[in-house]
Amino acid sequence: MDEMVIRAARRAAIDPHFLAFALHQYAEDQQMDEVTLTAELGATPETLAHARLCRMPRTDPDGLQEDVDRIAAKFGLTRSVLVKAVRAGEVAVAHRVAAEREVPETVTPMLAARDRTPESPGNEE
Amino acid sequence: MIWPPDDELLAAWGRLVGDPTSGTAFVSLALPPLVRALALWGKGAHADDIETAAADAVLALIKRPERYDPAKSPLPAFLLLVARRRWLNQFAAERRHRVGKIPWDDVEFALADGNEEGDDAPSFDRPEMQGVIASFSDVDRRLFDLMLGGERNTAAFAAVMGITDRPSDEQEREVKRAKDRIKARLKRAAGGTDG
Repeated sequence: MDEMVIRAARRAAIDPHFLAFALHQYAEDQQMDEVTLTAELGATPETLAHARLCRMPRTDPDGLQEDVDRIAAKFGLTRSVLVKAVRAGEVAVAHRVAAEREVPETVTPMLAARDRTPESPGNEE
Repeated sequence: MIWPPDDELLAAWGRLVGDPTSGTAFVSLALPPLVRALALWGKGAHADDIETAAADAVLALIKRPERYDPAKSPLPAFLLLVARRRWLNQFAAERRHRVGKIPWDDVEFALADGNEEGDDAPSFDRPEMQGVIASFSDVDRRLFDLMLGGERNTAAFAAVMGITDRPSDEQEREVKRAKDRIKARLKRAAGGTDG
């Protein structure tokens, strides 16, 4: 496999759309390096790259089972580890969404203050 | 031949919608030729930047395959367009980060001559700038790339324009005219004046 494809697969870890994101979160949670993750998945560097470039499995029970089965079968990966990784990805996304929701509460007063007309425009300098 | 056959590439794209495992096949097929094509377009650019922009373009299409409409353009052309934009955005972001540290005199592509504070540094990621850049002819596109790369050698520009057989003073005049024309178009798009 082309090295640039492997690098692109690593890059996909920044985007929750890709399974790479979930695998990265799982490895971080478990404090695993790439070699350990590869071994736990029963993968090779090539099949790990294939897996990373997969679309994140659907999260409803039927969709999750179907997608994980498909990915595990196609690339010869350990199904149970994939499921744990998907769950880790879901948790990370939930945290991200929660963090984004908190932003307006802190930003809004600052924006309001910034947008307020200065009481004495002549003193701006 | 750089790209795989159209039908092979389109089939790989078509599988992106339904098959969650199809991303890797598409990357393997599209990324290497896209990197080569982008490198030809952006001669002199850092290889890592080229690869990152190309990878981002391919990943973006995997994420949203419906963004491509086969009726409008060939898939390689679409990917190259997206990758170019990514590269220009990357370039503009890095340039904004560096601006102020670089003496403007050392920057060939300074839209505001004599401005030493960098306030008028071009933002190539703005839609109006992207529109102008996308409308460049092939020659202007390559001249623009040289300008972005800080090329100062008139001969390099003359070679792109195909006028190396002309007297050197004429080459200089024609090159200056072409560069001024490109700058003026970008300045207008940026909301500046031509003067």
